[in-house]
Amino acid sequence: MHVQPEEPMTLEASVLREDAVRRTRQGYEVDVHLAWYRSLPLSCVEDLSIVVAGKKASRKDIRVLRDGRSLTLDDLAGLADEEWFVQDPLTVLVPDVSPLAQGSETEVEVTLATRIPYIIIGPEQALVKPTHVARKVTVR
Amino acid sequence: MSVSLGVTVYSMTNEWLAGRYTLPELIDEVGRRGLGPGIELIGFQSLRGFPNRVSRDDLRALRDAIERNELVPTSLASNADVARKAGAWMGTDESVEYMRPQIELAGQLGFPVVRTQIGLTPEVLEKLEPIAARAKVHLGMELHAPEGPNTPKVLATRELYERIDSEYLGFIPDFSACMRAIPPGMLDKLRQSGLSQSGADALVRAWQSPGAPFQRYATFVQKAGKLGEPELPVRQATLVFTMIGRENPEDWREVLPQVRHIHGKFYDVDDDLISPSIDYEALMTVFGEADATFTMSSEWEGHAYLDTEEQDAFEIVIRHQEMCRKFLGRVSGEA
Repeated sequence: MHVQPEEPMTLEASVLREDAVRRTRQGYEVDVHLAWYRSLPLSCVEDLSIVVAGKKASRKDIRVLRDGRSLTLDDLAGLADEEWFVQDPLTVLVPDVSPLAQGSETEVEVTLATRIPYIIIGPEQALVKPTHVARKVTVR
Repeated sequence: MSVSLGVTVYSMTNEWLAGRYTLPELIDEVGRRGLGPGIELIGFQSLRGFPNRVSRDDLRALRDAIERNELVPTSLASNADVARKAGAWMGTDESVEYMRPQIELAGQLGFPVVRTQIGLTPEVLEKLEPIAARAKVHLGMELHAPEGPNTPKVLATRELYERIDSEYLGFIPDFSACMRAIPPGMLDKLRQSGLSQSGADALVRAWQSPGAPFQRYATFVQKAGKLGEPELPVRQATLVFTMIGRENPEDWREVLPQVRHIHGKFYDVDDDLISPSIDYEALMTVFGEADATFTMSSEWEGHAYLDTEEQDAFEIVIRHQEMCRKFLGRVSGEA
């Protein structure tokens, strides 16, 4: 397995689910699933940005919540021994001082780049798979 | 019959990603639908904490599920993950230590073969051989598109295998290497993404033309530019050149003594039990006539472009195995 296309046509289907977005005091928690067929180390998350209700949270804004820790994307780069299991979501904190109320319908957009650590496409160059998914959800 | 059928649960990738099954539930469904006796899995897909931190409960549940469904473990797929740390790729010794627990766990679970990938260098393979021999696990390097039994990287591995001459070093032919056509369903999807009929014709011609896969893709991109094809399907069409190889099915005969398991890769099986994209009649003749019994996993990869609403993975595996039995029956004179 397998050199996959840059934008496979169906692995994206599970990335964002209907119940992916929860309102919190600090903004939203968004559950993001991996668009790949197997688990990857957290160190393979190269970039992530999330847009909720038209407001974009980029690399410097977002935090990944895991086992009681709040991690930056730079922290993830050092976590080669921690697994993003393929059936589990990564829970991402998207800060917003005035988040939408629970029950609101809104558009969510996730842009994710994951390094595929065994698909080598050039000297010292591994495949980086871009994922872009947008959908309407109801804030929980 | 000298090919024993089975399935890799990689065929059910879409159902798995959607979270419809736990691993024991998925194996129960394989058993209920009669897709065995062989069962294969990908460690990093099916097992949480693979390979060092899988819980004892999960390992026991896996063994129990295989046993109660009377399935036979065939192959556990490993990954080399050399680029796990950006900017600090694994060297030979680190690679060996990364592969070791994957091989040892396969042995503990009773898998006779570990699927390895072409990325493992001869230096790493040479150091893994004694580890595999101790675990009584055969390393089967998957020969997958765009490689084939006679492409340069594989020839280098064949040389190493000849030199070391160990039963623990072998191959897993994957039929993606020797396809006869682009799956019609894949072309349909590319047309749905906006590729015109002229664009699809140009794609087929580029795929059929001589040359290395990436050169042929470049030829297609150029032609698509002239035709004004949209960017998305042109980018998606890379998979046609990386996942659909054009080697000759007869060439597998050269590596038959080193075959440790087979990936019965497929995308489509029609109502007459024929696969439009892969010549199963030729392939089942090559492997069915051999003087050995091989295990073969049905490996459906149509989930690269079909979702669960469009195709139930279990159903198409059943049809695939009916097709294989038909052709194998002809080889052994039963039909």
